[in-house]
Amino acid sequence: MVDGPLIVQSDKTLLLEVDHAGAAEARAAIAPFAELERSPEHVHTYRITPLALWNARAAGHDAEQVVDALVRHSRYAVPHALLVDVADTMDRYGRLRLENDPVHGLVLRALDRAVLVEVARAKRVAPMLGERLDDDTILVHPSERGRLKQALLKLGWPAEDLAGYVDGEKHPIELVQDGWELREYQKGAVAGFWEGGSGVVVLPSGAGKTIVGAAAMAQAGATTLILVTNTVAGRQWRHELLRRTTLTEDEIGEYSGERKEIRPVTIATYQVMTARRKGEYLHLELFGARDWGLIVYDEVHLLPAPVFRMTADIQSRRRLGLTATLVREDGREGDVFSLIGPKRYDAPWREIEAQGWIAPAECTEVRVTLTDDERMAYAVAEPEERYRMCATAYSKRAVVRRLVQRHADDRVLVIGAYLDQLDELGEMLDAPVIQGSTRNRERERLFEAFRTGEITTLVVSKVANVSIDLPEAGVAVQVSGTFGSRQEEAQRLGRVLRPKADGRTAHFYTVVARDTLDQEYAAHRQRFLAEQGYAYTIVDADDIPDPDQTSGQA
Amino acid sequence: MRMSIPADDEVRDEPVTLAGWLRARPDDALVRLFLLRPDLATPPPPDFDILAARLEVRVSVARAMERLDTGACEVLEALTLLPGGVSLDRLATLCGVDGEAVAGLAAVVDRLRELGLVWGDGDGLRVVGMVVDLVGSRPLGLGRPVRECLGAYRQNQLARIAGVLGEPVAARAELIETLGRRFDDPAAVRGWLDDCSPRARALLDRLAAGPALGTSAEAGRVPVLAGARGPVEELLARGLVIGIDEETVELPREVGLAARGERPAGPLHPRPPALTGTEIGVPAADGAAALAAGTVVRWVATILDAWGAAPVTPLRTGGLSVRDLRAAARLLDTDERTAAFVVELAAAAGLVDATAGVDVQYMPTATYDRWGTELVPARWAALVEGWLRAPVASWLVGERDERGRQIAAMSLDVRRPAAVEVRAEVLRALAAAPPGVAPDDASLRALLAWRSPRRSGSLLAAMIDGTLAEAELLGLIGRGAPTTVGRLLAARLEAERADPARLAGSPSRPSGGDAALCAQLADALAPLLPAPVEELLLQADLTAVAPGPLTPTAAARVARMADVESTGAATVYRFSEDSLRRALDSGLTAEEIHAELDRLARTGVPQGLSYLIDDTARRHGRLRAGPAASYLRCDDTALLAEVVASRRTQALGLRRIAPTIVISPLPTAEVLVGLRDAGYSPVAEAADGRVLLSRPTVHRTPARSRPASNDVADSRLAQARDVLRLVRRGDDGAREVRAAVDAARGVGVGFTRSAPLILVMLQGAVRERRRVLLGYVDQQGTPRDRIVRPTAVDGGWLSAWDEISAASRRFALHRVTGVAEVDDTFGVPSVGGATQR
Repeated sequence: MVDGPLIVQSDKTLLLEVDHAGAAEARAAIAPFAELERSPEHVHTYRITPLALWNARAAGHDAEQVVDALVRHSRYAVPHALLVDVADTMDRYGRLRLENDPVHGLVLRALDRAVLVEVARAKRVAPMLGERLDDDTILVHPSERGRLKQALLKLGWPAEDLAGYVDGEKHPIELVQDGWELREYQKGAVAGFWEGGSGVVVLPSGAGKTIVGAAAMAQAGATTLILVTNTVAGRQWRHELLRRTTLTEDEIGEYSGERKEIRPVTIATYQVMTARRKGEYLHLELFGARDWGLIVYDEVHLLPAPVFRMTADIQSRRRLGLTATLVREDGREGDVFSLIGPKRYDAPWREIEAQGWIAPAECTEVRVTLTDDERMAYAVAEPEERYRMCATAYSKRAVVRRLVQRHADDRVLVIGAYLDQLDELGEMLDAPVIQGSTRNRERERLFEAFRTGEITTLVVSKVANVSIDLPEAGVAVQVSGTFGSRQEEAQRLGRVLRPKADGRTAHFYTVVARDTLDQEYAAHRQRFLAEQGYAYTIVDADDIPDPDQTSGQA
Repeated sequence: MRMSIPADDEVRDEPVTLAGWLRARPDDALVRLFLLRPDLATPPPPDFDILAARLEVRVSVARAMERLDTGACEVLEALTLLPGGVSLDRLATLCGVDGEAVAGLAAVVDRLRELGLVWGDGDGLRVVGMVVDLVGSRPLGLGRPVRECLGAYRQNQLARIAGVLGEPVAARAELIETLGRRFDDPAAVRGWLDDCSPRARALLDRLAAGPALGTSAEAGRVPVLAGARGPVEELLARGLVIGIDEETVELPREVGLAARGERPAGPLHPRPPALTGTEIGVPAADGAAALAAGTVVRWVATILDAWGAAPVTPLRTGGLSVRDLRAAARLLDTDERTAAFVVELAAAAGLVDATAGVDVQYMPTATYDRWGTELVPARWAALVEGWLRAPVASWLVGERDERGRQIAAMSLDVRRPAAVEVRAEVLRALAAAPPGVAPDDASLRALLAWRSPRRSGSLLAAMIDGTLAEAELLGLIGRGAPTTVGRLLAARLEAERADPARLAGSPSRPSGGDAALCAQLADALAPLLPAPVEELLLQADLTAVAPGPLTPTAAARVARMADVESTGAATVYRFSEDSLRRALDSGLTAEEIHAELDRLARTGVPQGLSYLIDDTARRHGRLRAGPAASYLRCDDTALLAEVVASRRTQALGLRRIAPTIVISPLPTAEVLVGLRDAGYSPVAEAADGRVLLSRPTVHRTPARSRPASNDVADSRLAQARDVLRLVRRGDDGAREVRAAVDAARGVGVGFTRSAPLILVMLQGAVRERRRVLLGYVDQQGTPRDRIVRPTAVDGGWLSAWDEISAASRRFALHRVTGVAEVDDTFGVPSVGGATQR
C-alpha cells in the first residue's frame, strides 16, 4: 500500500492531507475532476460529482486518467465500485452532441443510438426536438439550444456543445499594460475560458476578476454586454475598463435605471434586466440590441432566475461567468453549468493569498457580553425580533468604537444590516453612512474620498457587500448581517482583501453578542470561510484595550 | 454373531444379491455409507434386506446422485449400458480409457460404490436398480435399444423394414424379436452404415453424438428405400432411425454405438473444466477485501445501533416491512438489496433477533454488545461464519413469491435450505481459480455445472449470482478474484467436504459459532486491513479527520462527541453544539473532552473548537430537571426551613431546591398526611406542573438458543456406528427366521412379505419385464395369488398385465401382501431390458 496523501471515501469525497509531501502533486492530479469543497488548515475535502466529472471530460480528460490519479495518490485501496461509477459517469458525457450541420443548421447527433432514442422519448425533451433526419441525427431549433442542454443534463446525458459561437460584431479592444500586467492565474483563467468557449471563472474577491473580464474582452475583440449586480459596481467596471484597456468613454454605455445607453460595450444591471411591467420583461431587447460577441456575468452566484431564462435563448453567444464562489444559496449550480457553462478555472483563496495577490487577512470574532437588561429584553422578545435585538445590542457600540480607534491609522469599514444601528454608529464615530437610499452620486463621492484618504471610516449597509472596489480598506468591522448567509460573509471579507501598497495585513472583525442567536448565525456564516482556511480567533470584548483609557493612563 | 458370506466360489453359483453384498461389507464401509447418506440410517433399518431396499428408494438415490460430478455421472450412465456383474475392464473399454486412466476410473467407481449407487467388486459391478430408472432410457446421449424403438411401429411398417433386411414377415412380437436379433450384431450394423449415402451418414453421426432424438415431419412413415427422398427418409427406409411418433425420430442404441465406433461412450469429461478469467492480482483483490470487510462491519453496526435505539416491529406475517427496509437502506446510503443482505447477515450471526412474547420486535441481542467490543477482523469473522451456515437467500428479498406477495427480509420466505450447499460450492469453485485471477462468469458456471450436473434451473442461477454478490460484499472475493481470506474459507470447506461426518448439509452449527474458524479468519484478515490509527486532525471548521481506521476504543469515544460526516478508509467527524451536548449528557465533562482531544489531536486543537466545547459545557446543565412526586411551596422561607429541619418530617424525604420550594419523592397525599401529623396545615395543589423526564432506554433481547451440539462430527459418527450395530443384530435375527421358514416349507415359492422389499421387487420386475407372483387382497377382502407382468409402479399403484384375466389391471400397492419371483419355467424368455444387453 502506498503512503499517498489522498484518502478516497466511499461517499465520493476525497481527503487531501495538505502537509503531506505529495500533496501538491496529488492536488494537481485531482483538481480537474473534483470540486474543492473545503480547504481548512490540515485536510482539504474534494468531492467527485457528475458535474465535476463532466467538466473534466469537457476539458479533455478521460476516465483512465481519473482512475489513475485516484489509485496512484490514494493511501488506501480505492473502492472499486467508485472507480466503475466514475468511468460510467464520464462515459455519459458526449454521447450526444449539439453540432452545426452545414445543411440543416443546429442538430443533436448521437454517438450512441440507444441514448438518442432514450432521450427523444423523455417527456421533457421530446417537444424541443424537431424532425428526425436520420438514425443518429435530430434537428433542433436554435432557440431551444439552452433549454435542451438543461433538460439533457437533468436526464444525466449532458450534451457536448460543439455548435460553436457567432463571432458577433467586431470591435477591437486591447489591454493597456502600463505599470501592471496580467498575473499568471489571470492568464490561465482567460485561456481556460477561451478554450472552453463559455464558462465560469472562480476567483476570490480582490484577485482581479474585472481584469479577467477585460482580458477576455480583448481576446474576443467584439462588442460586449456586461451584466453586473448594481449601478455602482457597473461604474467601477467602467472605470476599470477605461484604465486597463484602449476603450474610450464613448465606447462604454451604461444601461441602468438612470441611463439607457447602448454602445459597443454596454454595462447593464441585473435589476434593470429583471424589471417587469404587467408581467412583461421590459428590457429583453437589450440582448438582441446588438450582435454581441461576448456576454460577461459578474457575480454569477447572484444571477437571478429570469436572467437564466433569458440566457437560455442566447446560447450561440460566448458567455463568461465571474464569481468568488459557486455556492448558491438556492442550489441552482446545475443551471449555471448548462446555461453559462462549465467551470473553466478555479483557484483556492489561500493559494492566491500565498502568491501575494490578495492581502493576508486576520479574522476575529469579538464576543460581547450583553448587560442583564439586554439579556432580559432578548429573552422575552418575539421570535422574529430576536435576531435584531441581539445584533443591534447597545453593548456592541463600545467595542466598535474601540476597534475603530485601534485602527485609527488604517481605513475602516463598519458593515451592518440594520439602518438604525448604522445611523447610531455613524453618529458615534462621526463617519458618513452609505445605505440603499444614498444617491449614486453621493456614494461615489464618498467612496472616492475614502480612496484618497480624506475619510478614514465609512459605515455601510449591505449595498457595499459586493463589487465595490475600495483597495485601501484594511479593516472591516461587521456588526450585523443577513441572518446566516455564508456568501455574504465571504463577500464582506473580500472588501478588505485587495493587496495593500505596504503589504499590511487586513483585519476582519465580526462583533457578536454572546449566547444569543447572533452567535449561532455567526458560526454558520463563518463556516464557508473556515472551510476556505480562514480560521477565526475568538476574543472577548473586554480583552480589546480601550485606547482612550490606556492613553489617559499613560 | 456376524454371519459372513461364503467364499467367492460359492457366490458364483448363487445369484449375488445387494443385501448379501452389503452384509459382507466391512464395518467401516457401512459406517461411511450411513454418514454419506444419513437418510438410510433413519430410522435404523432392521436388517440388510431392508437396507438394500432403502438403497433403491427413489428420493434417496436421487439425492445421492445430486452430489455426483459430471465425470462420475457419466461413469454411472455408462454402467447402466452394461449388463449387471460387469468387470472394470469392460467398463474401461466402453469409456474408451486405457493405461493409467483406468486407475482414475477405478477411483470414480470406488466413490460410486461408497455412495451405494454401484455395488459388487471389480469383476462384478452392478448399478442399483433405481439408478437405471433415474438415469433414464437414453444414457450418454444414446437412444433406446432397437426392440423398444420398434414397438412404436405398426405391423406394415415393421414388414417394410423386414423387407429391406430380407427377413420374412411374421407376427408382430416375433418380428420385433427377429429384427432386434439382426441389430445385435455390431458388424452387420456397421455394414449397413457403410451403405448409406454421405448425407444420410452425416445425419446419423449427428444423432449418434447425442441426443439420439431428432425432429422430422417425415417421422410418421416408413418409405420404400428406392423412393426415399432426402437423408431422413433414407434412414427411415433402412430402419436405421425409427419414427417413435409423428414428428420424432430416434436413433436406436445399437446403431448409435456402431456409429460411434472406437469410443462407444462418446466424449467423456473426467476432468473439471479449467477456470479462465482476468488477472486482477492478489494485492488488488486483498485490498478490495479489506475495504469490503470494513464496510460490512460498519453497516451492521449502523443498522443495529439504530434498531437498538428504536426497535422495529415486524410484519404480522413475519419479516421486515418494506418501509423499514427502505429506512435501513437510506441509513446505509445503499440500495435495498444490500440493506436486506446486511440485515440477514446480522441475523445469521445472531446479532439481531425478534423478542419473545406477544409484542414482537426486532432488536439487537446481547451478543451484539460483545461483538461491538471486538476488533474489526473478529467482528467480520463472526459475520462471515454466520453467513456461511445460514440457509438464507437474501437476494430474494423484494421479489414476488408464487402468490405475488413481496418477499420480506427476515421472513421464512427467504429461507432456502439449499443456499448453504450452493454457497459452499460456489466458494470452492471460485478458489479453483489461480491466485489473483477473477474467473469469468461462463467458466465459473461451467465448472459448477461440471461439479453438480444434476442441479439446474433459474433458482440455481440466481443463487450463484446472489452468492457471488454477497461474497464480494463480504470481501471473500475482491473484484471477482478470490481473496486470501476467501481462499482460506474455501480450503476449510474443501476439508469439510472430504470428511463425510461433516457433510450432507448438516444445518446445525455450534451454538456459540465456530470459534476456531472465526479466529482463523480474523487472523487472516488482520494483516490485510490498514493499520488502525489513534489520531485526529482537528480543523478550524470544526471537522476532525481520522486519517485511517480508528481503534475501536478511540472510535467509540470520538463518536460520543462528534457526528460522522463521511466514512470510508478515513472518517470525517463534525463537532457541533448538539454532538457535544450528547457527550456531556453521556457523562463526559468538558475537561475530559479537552483531554481526550489533546491526546488524539496530532496538530493541536483549534481555538474555535475549544470555545465551542467550553460554551456548550457552560450552558449544559444550567437548567436542571429531576423527578419529584410532590412539592411544597411557601412564600415564607423561614417556615419552609422549619419544616425541612423538623424531626417529625424526616420520613417524608423533603429536599429544598430553592428558597421557596421543597420537593418530596412521596405522593402528595402521603406528604399531606405526614405534614398534618407534624402539626402543619398544608393545602393540596392541583397536580399540574409536574415534570418527568425519562432516560432513553436501549433495548436488548436474549439471543435465542440454537440447536447446539458441541462436536457435530463426533456425535454423528457415533450415531452411524449405533445404527450399524442395530442392523447387524436385526439382520442376523431375520435370517434365522427365514431359514427356519424355508426349512419348514421345503423349497418352494418364497413370498417376500416386507413392504419395502415388495416395492423394490416390483420396480425390478418393471425394469426387467419379469413376471411375478402377486399376493393381493381384493376390494372384497379376498386374498388371491395371481401371476402378473408389472408395467409401471407409480403413485401407490401398480399397473400390470394380469395373465388370468388377460387384461391390464391396476393394483393398489397397500393391498399387495407379498411378491414372489416366478421361475423361468413359467414364461417366455424376457425381452431385452436395459440390463440384459
